[in-house]
Amino acid sequence: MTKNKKIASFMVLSFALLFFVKKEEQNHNVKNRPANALLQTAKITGESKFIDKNRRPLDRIPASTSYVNTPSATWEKQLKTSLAAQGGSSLKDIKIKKEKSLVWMRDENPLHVESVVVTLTNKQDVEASFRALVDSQTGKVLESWDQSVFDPANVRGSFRIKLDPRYTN
Amino acid sequence: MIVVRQWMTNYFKATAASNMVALLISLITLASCNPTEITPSGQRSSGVYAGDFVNKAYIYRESPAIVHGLNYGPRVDMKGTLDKALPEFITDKTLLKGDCSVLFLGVDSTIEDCIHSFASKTASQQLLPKKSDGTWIFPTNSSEFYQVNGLYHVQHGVNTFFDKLKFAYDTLHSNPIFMWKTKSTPKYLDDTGMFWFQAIAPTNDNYFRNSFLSSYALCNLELNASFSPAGPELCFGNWAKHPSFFMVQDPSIVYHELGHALIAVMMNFRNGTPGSLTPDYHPLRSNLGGYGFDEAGSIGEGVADYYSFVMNQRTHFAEWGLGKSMNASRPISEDDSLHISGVDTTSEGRLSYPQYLLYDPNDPNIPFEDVHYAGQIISHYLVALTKELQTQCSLPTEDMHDISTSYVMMLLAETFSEMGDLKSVGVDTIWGGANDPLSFLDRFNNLDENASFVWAHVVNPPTYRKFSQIMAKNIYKYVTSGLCTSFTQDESEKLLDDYGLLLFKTYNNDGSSTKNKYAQYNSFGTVNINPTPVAPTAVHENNRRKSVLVSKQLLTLAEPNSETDTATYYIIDDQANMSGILEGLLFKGFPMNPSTGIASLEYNNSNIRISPGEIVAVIPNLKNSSNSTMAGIQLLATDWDHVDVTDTTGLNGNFKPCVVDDVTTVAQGAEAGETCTSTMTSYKRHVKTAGAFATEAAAPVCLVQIEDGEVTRWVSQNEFRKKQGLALQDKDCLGFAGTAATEDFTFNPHECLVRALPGANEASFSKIDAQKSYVETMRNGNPEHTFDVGNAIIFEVNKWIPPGTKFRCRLRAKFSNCSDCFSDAADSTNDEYIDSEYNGAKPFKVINFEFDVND
Ligand SMILES: [Zn+2]
Repeated sequence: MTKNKKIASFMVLSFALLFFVKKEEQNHNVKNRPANALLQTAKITGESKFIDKNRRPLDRIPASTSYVNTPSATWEKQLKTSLAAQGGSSLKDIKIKKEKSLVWMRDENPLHVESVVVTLTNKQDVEASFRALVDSQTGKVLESWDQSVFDPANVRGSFRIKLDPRYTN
Repeated sequence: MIVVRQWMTNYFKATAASNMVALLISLITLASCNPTEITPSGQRSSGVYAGDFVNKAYIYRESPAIVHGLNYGPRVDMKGTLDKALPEFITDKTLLKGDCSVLFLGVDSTIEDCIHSFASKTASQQLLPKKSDGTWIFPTNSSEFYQVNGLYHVQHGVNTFFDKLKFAYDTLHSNPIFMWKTKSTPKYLDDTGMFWFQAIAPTNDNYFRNSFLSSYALCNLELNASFSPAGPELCFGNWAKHPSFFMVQDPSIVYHELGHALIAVMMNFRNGTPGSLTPDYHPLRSNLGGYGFDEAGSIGEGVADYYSFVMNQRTHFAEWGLGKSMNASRPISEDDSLHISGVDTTSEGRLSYPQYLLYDPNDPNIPFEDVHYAGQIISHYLVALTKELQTQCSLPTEDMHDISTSYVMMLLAETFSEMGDLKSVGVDTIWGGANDPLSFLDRFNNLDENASFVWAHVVNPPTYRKFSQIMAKNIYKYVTSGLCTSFTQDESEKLLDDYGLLLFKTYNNDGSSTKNKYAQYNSFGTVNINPTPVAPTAVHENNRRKSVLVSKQLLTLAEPNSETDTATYYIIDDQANMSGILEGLLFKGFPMNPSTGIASLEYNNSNIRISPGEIVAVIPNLKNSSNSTMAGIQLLATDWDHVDVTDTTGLNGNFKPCVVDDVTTVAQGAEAGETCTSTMTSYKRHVKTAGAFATEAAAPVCLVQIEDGEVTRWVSQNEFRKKQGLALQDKDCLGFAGTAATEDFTFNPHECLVRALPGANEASFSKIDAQKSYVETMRNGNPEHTFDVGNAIIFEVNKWIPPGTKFRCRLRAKFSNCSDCFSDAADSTNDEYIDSEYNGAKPFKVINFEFDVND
């Protein structure tokens, strides 16, 4: 490809992309859903922001925005239930603090998500925290990051998996 | 066990550091040393200070173990440790907090109140106010005293970092010799505020609960200290048995924890870009390390130990905080007398990889897989590099430490900002502006902005290989070809090789994009399509003496062996162990979205087999059939492009597995040839998009066997669950969170029956000795052996699976000293695989983990 050709195709692509992006924004709230669901979506979407327009793949068709999930008021409860299930009897407290609502492209589906900080307190009153992107409809954690780093003096003392004696002769 | 603890007697060698300590001891007032417990003063100190003491306090510069010697304590009175000769400036604010100020090309960027110092975490925590006499001099050993000292040391560490960052920034962006080089530390750092934990624009400030770093001097942590990026906060614990003992009494621990925070800052330098109105931030952030042992976490510990050396010039870490309490202090250089004999600063004696990966100098006879001990290889390398630069670069003696550590911190800033880049564009304009991803089509770091988090942390995360390769590239680019030409490519490679870290064949500096190796950026930062890609700079092979590379073909699952008492894999399905694992993972920040009603621990029957409904941990026992150690093995159970989607209707997404080895054959329903070659350039799991399955996607690792009359085939779990008289609905599948009225857009029916749980879908293994399996290497005959949580992959098993159903999970393995994981054998330039090729099999050895599900 010559340089001129490259620039030309580049510009065409950029315009095409800009067009799609614009269109997507217009279509954002148009959904094939019952009226009450639409209302709810519209309300929550008001706070949401396409976090980064350029985060969308070039080949995705704008119509797919109508398939994004429906934010539900119960995401936080669902998240807490799921964390409590995994935490078992070890936890004293689970705090979820929502920081922001946004739209996150996952597997080419634009999803309404909540960005949250989770703070856990265990039975020994030790705190640990992390951040998570949570599906606004199901409460599923899509990604977690910013985990605590611990530096115990007794490095050999943390939880380890015992070798089952049935595996030894 | 006999450990000659020479350091107990002759730790204080006549070094510059010990001279400094001696001087310090002579300076301090040796007040009475009655150990006292901590008490909030509840009153103002009775002494009247003012004048020269305004905004100041007496501080301890070093821990009691350094000031009084290693036999002192653990009961302590800090009066004897204080430097009474020279009060230090704390803050001129009325409350106990400080600013972050950095000069970029002479322009001051200040984030006010960027550090807050507290005692312990409480709902009603308040910042300590300054005394009415204008000083911060509180009674020694009081809570206030530790808060003041906490701020002093954190602020001191932060100021030093900003001095180093100023050097890096000014050098990279104004030194004419670097004009025509692309840099990773962005010029727009001051526009985005990413030199600290702050996003500048309030509307974008979704990162941090606070834009300041909180330091808790008296945290509720038993013999422990921590850094939590989500705060962000530093926590310094105590020792219940000795109420006068605190981690914060050891400044090297403060610098280590701060080191973790600074790594978190550097890794995210590129994750904010200036926008037309407000800056734009990637919604996620990068960090080092996972839930158990891994090389990324080990790099973090090594660099954090190195930061303690940057701050105090001493090559030993935490004599008080870790040494006095648990005999667990760590050396940072080979000439430390704690080391076993044979470790020294000669080429042969360096703390080399992978030999010393499990080396605990305090307990050298019992190897232990732990990020802190493994990290010693990195800390020792960085100290050795610093000292090499001091001697090779003719630095003025009085500023030698300062300048050499500035060089190394600049290299680290460049390395971490590249490894942690989530925006993925990777290249700025020659004027230092951010390229607009809307018009700039190529990506150069971590695949692309949608998948970057997964690439940078799971699929292709920081390893000893990746870290040393990018460090070496930056040394070559900025030191050898710039700041210090006498530190040649050979010298740099030899030093890396002394540490066994010359694990790469090229510097991977050819600038290929993540999706197209022909799209390459040049030194101007412009991208060209080169029909013959520019080749990367090759390593001088004759410098590779200690660093041994091994073929991935020699990595397999071990055969069961009664002689060595080892199995092919270890299944943990008892409730006690499993709940411990799951709870531990959550506490470490890895939530796994367990399915509800389809699998749970109540089905776990502890028969060390995989049964319907269970949640099980699997520790595959990998075997190394080569004559050299394999190290840094990573085993992935994440979705990858190993199938050809044959259903073109988009309804079911049924697929045929591709032939990727001689295990799954055409006769078993697999597909061979071109149609099955991975060409995916982005990462998309096999879930519905716009109501339909795509014809190209990354599939879950586990295939299921289906019987069609006489023929058995390996197929998608979605195909299986709809046939075989099962007719499982979505709600009967693992991971489904929809309802009758709502879809679950992340639901993947191709893992309806068995799935690796998110958050626990990879395993790490420090090393496997020659001709041994992993368990043989680690266990060493010990019947009481325990595994690190990081060795396990966790699977959920659907309770509706018919007994006898067979599964084959195609896991992917690579390792750090692999000779054929990173480039194609047919490519004479050893050009590395680009990020999109990590969608497929090329960089990996496929490990087939097979099992039947039975009660
Ligand atoms: Zn650490």
